[in-house]
Amino acid sequence: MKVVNFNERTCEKYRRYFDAYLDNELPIETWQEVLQHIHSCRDCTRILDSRSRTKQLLRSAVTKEEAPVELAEALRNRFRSERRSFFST
Amino acid sequence: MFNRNSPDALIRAADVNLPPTGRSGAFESEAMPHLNDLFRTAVHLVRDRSAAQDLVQEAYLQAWKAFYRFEPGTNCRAWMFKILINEVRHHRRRWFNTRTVPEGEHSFEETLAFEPPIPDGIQDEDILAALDEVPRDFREVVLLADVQEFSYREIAEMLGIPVGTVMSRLSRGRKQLRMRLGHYVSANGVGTRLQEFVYEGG
Repeated sequence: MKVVNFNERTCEKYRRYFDAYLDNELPIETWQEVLQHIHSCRDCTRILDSRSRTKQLLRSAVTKEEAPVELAEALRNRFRSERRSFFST
Repeated sequence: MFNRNSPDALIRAADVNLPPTGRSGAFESEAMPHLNDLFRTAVHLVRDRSAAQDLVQEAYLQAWKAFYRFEPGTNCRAWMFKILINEVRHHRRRWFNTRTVPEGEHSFEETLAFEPPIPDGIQDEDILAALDEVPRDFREVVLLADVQEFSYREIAEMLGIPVGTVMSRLSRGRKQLRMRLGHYVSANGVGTRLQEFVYEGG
């Protein structure tokens, strides 16, 4: 990603980069610009916190789901049967 | 730097050239630890646990057969996810006449500047229900980035799309998730704080 030049210091311009900021996908110069703005803007801090929290809650909710125990066993049985057919051909 | 002549590399190379029986040890240790992550992703891509089990089985079988092509030292997790994504696409083509959301078409929610806050009492099931309502192209990228924590470049490679498209789908998917979460929560009585926030003009 290219370094962004934030000449026009409106919140809307910074908010477009919040997702990449949270994902650590911004170049360091742009990351610092966004960070500086957040420190001086309560609305943007609230929005960024809310986005970060949504991300954490989503990850936590999805990762609580476990694959059924019989799935790993079913897979190993399939590998065994494939191996047998490999040697019989 | 990876040394192709190191003892470890030679053992791995020899293993790769073996028939399936000789590869199973390496496959077990490289691929099987990702079973839960692949299953979770499949469940939310097809929204059906039974179909997700079949797809994960099929993905593992494909990976097992193609394991000789896997380059040791590279990212096995990303490789497994790429195979799973392909299986999910075959599944959709086989069973559904699915319509993807065109990149330029924006839903009403996406045009709103307001970002509802996430209430404290939100439950996992509220979040999962909201996630499952997000259009699949966006849901796919949100799952890979937010839950599986793949980089934009890895996701682009997995899905065969440019990094810019990954960013756009992620941004739109997250926005739709937040808005749906807001609607879902207020409709189910969890969002009293959300209502107060709106009335206060937040």
